[in-house]
Order: sequence, then structure tokens, then C-alpha cells
Amino acid sequence: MNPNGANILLVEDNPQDAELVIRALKKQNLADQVQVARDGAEALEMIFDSDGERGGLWENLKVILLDLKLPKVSGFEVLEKIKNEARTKAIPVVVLTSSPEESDIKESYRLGANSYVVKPVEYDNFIAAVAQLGSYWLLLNRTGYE
Amino acid sequence: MNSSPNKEPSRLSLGGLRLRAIFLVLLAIIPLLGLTLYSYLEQRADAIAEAQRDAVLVAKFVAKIQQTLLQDTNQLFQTLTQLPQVLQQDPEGCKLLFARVIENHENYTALIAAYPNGRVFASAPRTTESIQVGDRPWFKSVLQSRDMVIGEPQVGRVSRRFSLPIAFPVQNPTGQLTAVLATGLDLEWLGRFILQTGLPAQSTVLMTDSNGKVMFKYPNPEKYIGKQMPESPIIKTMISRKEGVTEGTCAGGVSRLYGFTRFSSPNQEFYAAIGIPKDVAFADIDRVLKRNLLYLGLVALLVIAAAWFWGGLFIVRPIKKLQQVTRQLTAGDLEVRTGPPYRSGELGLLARDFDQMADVIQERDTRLKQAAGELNRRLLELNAAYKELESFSYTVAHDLRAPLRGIGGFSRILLEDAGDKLDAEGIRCLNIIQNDIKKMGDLIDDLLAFSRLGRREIRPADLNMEDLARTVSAELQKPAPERNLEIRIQPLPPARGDREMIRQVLENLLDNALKFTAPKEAAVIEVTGEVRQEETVYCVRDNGVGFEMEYAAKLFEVFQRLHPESEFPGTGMGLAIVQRIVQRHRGRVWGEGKVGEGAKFCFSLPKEETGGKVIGGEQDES
Repeated sequence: MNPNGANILLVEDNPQDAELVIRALKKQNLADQVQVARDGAEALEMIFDSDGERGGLWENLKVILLDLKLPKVSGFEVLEKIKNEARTKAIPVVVLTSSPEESDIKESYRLGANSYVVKPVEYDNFIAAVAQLGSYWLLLNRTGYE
Repeated sequence: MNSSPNKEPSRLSLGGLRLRAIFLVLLAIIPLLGLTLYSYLEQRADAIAEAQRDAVLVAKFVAKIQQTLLQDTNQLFQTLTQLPQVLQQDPEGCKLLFARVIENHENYTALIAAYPNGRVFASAPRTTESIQVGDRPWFKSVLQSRDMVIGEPQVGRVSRRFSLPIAFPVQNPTGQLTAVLATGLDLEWLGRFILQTGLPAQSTVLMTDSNGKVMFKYPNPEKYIGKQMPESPIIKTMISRKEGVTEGTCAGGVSRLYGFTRFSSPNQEFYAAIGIPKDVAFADIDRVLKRNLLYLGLVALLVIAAAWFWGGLFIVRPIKKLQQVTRQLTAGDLEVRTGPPYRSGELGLLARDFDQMADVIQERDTRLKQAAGELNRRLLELNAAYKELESFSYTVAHDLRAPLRGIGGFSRILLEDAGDKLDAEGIRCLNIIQNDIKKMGDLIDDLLAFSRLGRREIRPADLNMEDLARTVSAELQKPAPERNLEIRIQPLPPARGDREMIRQVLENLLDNALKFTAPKEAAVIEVTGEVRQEETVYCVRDNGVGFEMEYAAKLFEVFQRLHPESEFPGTGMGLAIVQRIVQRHRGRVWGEGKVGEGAKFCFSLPKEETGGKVIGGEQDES
């Protein structure tokens, strides 16, 4: 059992973007369920490492919001690891990135992403997008593992 | 290599050099052949003339002899009628006399003396039986004419030889006819004469009287002598022309040249003709002709053989060598040369020139390869630089968005969370920030789109331009349905290109047209298309604010604007994107305009298949 009880993992190196996401989730009252990883390595640690203080998240994650451009370990690598691991491959991964590039979209889905969302530049749109994601994946969607 | 144009000419093909050489030899022989034939014809004409001369000469000779014989016979009779044995009709004396005459003159087959009643009282050669000649025509004739009579030719009763009976009257001094003398003038001397004169075999002699009766003919005297043949062509010609030459073919099929002449006895006319067979006359020259033709043929064969051999050695072999080397060169072996020693003459020069040409080609090839290598290297460098640039502009545009989102987001948060603490000026400033952020967002989006266009692969498809234009214009009209706006879409020819990209072109052009007609009360926008020789042209025309033509070229540059943004919003990227898309489709773009009256923007797409051959299409996405 996850001591923190978080079901959203936000992997985002940009603290401003992370704050905006949290603010959007806060409006849905979902902010207390978020854990933030600042880079790919930290994200992997938080998901898989059960010894650490913040580890073992995988057990009750309902969605992972994953940026692609990350320091140390890239978003693609994180995605690949999650989807290649039997215990984590059922966790929904939503790629949330600034890149609208077709090659990035294709690669993400090839590696098993469940959704791909381009971050809107405009505040209103951004807030609306994250809010929708939060309510969909946490309230509406049912995960496939127990 | 395609084999048909380089097909080896067979040894005897019409174009082969050997055959041409032989043809030349034959051409050279033709005048010789002509000369031979000409000389033959001349000789033949000479031979004819000679044969004719000979025939006439012999005919005259024969006539002369015959005439002399007749005159001599007349003389003989004149003499005999003076002799006492004849005057006294002494049989025994006459017989002795006649025998002597016959002995000395072999031309006379017989000599007789007869009483006026026709009974012969003396004859030589002697006969025991009594001979009666009273019934003979010549006898009757002499009784009447009392002059020398030449009778019709006959076979002598005793001599069995062809002879001409000639009779003469014997008269006493009172003029009374007391006896008749007659002799047979031998005609067969003519045949012997023909044989002896050395005239060609099958030569013929013919003698007739003026009525066309054959007096003598050799050969085959028995067949013709005594016959009346005035219709025979030769006899007819003789009688009508008296003297000359003619040609004729006898029943035996032998063609002869005839020389003929007229002669006369004291009171009668005769004709003599000599016929010389033509082929005999031509035999010699025909033989010469055959010999000459044979020699000529042999010489021709020798020369042809020489031409064949010589042509092979000095023409065909060097040319084949040259041909082989040319083929090797064509196949890409630039090292190949005909090589020294070079023969003298044109072929040698050609081989030398060929080698020089090969040198030049090889040198150029080397330089070309170097240049190609250099070019390839530069191209790779260029590609790398281009990729780097694309990646740079993409990264810049991409990374610009994150801080922008931050500025926008937090200025908004400030407005939301602390709006009540700010005065009106503070709120105005925050709103300006918000607006500028939106503009910058648009700029970055357009820049990213523009950058993507350079790398995106073109997927060519057949496009219904009319449908596309209608869809785009309908979408663009949605935000402002209340505008007084007419968009006329004329029939448009289909195009081939990337659907999304061409759609973007139409969208940008129509969007511009909508934007710049906004100040007009009644806006009219027209989309037209036209198929030209090598391209299809599409135009969007509006009656908007237009522009100054001197800036027309600047319109398509990135971030270029001709109108202040406060009047017409936009990033200045629209036409740059249009130009980039169209250029990548190998087309052209251009614009025309007049301030206050409107603008017209056109783009063309090449008619041929564009798939895979578009500029930058091979750029991979990474």
C-alpha cells in the first residue's frame, strides 16, 4: 500500500508547468493526490523503488502525466520501462508535452502510451485541458489492475 | 547495350566496305566492257561492208566471165559458119572439127549441127543413134530469129551436166538457112568457181534471166534450175535494182549477204548474185569478242579478289579494330586505345584522332568524377547544415513555449488571485501581457508549422480542387456569418499534391482575402483555375484593400507585413507558408495588387507527376 496515497504521478522538469498542472487539478479537488517527479530518473525511482521514502507508487497509480523532454532519463525511456514491466504496464500513461511533432506522437504510441496531449500555450486552455484529464483518468476511467 | 544499332554487318551486306570496293571495281570495268562491245559492233559493221564488197566483186567477176563466155561462144559460131565443112554440111568433117573444138574448150559440153528439119548430122561427142532436135524450143527459136539463141538450161543428154543450150543459124550466101549449130555451155563451172575462190562455206551463186527464171544455182542446182521465180525476194531485188547488195534468208534458215549485178549477152539480159553466209562473215569477230569478254571477266575476277583481300587487310581490319575500341570506350573502359604504330593515310589519322579523343574523354571523366565527389561532399555538408538549422529552429520554437506558458499562466494567476488588490492601470498592464502572449503563441505556432513544412514528406494524391476550395471557404466563413461576402468558386481543374499542404495554401490565401476585404461593404472573392501548357494555375482574387506592386516580392518573406497589425491581425507567416508549400511542389507563386482595388494571388502546380520528386521530399524525419 502506498503510504502517500497518491494516484497521479506528474513527471515534469519545469516547475512552472508543474505548478500550473497542480493548480488546474486543485480546481478539481485532485491536487492532494499528485506526486511530482522532476526528471526521468526520479520518476522511475518513485514508481519502482519500494525502499525509498517516496517509492512504490506503482501499486495504486491511476495515471502518469509524462513530459517527454526530461533531464537524465528521457520521457520515452520512462515510458518504455513502465510498459515493459509486467506490474506497471497496465498503468495509464498520458504524454503531456509541448511537442506537436508527428514523430513524437508516433513514437509515444509505439511505446504504449495511452494518450497524447499537447500542452496549450494559453492559460485558459491549459487549465481546461489538465482539468479534463484529471477528471477523466481519476473519476471516469477504471484501471485494469487491482 | 542495345544490340540492334550495333549489329555487325555481314560480309556481303550492301553497306559493307568490301562490297563497296567490289562495286567500284565493277564500275571501272563497265567502260571496258562498253568499249569491247562498241569495237565489236564496229568490226561487225566493217565485216558486213567487207562481205558486201566481196559479194558484189565476185558477182561482177562471175557476170564478166559468163558474159565473156557468151561472147566467145558467139565468136566460135561466127567462125564455124565460115568453115567449108559446115557450109557443105559434111558430116564426117564436122564431126572431126567439133571433136577438136570440144577437146580444146572444156566449157562446151557438146557441139552439134542439124539440118533445118531438126535431124542432127554431126555431133561431138559422137553418138551412134540418130538425134532429132527439131522439137527443142531454142531450135524453133533460131529458125525464126536467124540469130544466136540462148535456150533454157538443161542437163546435157550426153554429159549429164547442167549446161546452157546456145544455137546459131548457118546460112548460104543467098541468105537461106541451111543448118543450125548448137552447143551446151557448161554452167557447173560456177559451182567449182565458188569452191575454188575460197569463199566461205555455204556461199551461194545464183544466175537468172530478166524474167526471173533461174539459169543456175549452186548449191542444189537440180532443185532450182529452170524454175520461174520472179517472186523470190532476192530475185525481185536483183531485177529491180540491177546492181547492189541485199540480205536474205534461204529456206534452210541460213542468213546471207547477197551481192548482185546485171550483165548482157548480145541480145539478152542476165543477173548474177553471190550470197555469203552472215555468221561466217561474223565468225572471226565473234570469236574475238568471246575471247575479249573472257579476258575481261578473268581480269575482273582477279581485281575483285584483290579488292576483297586488300579491302580486308587495309580497310576492314583497321575499321573493325577501331569499332571494337569504340565499343569498349562506350561500355566505360576509358583506358582503351587503338595504340601506335599508326598506319599512314586517313584510317591511321582517324585512329590517332580517336586516341586523342579518348585521352580528352578520360581526362574529362576524371575531372567530372572529382567534381562529382566534391559536389557530393558539399551536398552532404549542406544537408547536415540544413538539418541542424531545422532542428535548431524547431528546438527554439518549442522551448520558447514553456516560458511563454509560464508568463501567461502566472500573470493570469496574478489577475485571478490578486486582482482585487490591483488598480485599473495594473489590470490594463496584465491584459496587455496576456494579449502579447497570445500573439507570441501564434507566432511560435506558425514558425513551427513553417519549420515542419521543410521536413514533412509530401504524400501526393489526386485532389478535387473545387471541393477543397468549397470546404475551406465554408469553414472560414463560419466565424463571421453576418458579413456581406460573396465567394465565387469557378470550375477548378484537378491537381496532384499533398492534400493537407494544398489545403493549407487555399486556407491561407482565402483567409488573407477575407481579412483584407473586411473594410469593404460588399466583399467579393473569386477562385479561378486554368490549365496551361506545363502547369495548372489557381488564383484567389479579392476586392479588398490591395497593396503596392513594388512590395509584391516582399509579401512572401517570413514575417513580412505590408499593413499594420492593428488594422489586420496576423503573424506575417501566411504567404511564406504558401510559398514554401508550392515550391516544394515545384510550383510558382506570385501576387498582383492595386491599393484600394484588391489583390490577386496565384500559384501553379506542375502538370507532371510530382510524387517523390518534390524538393526536400527525401529529407527524413528524425
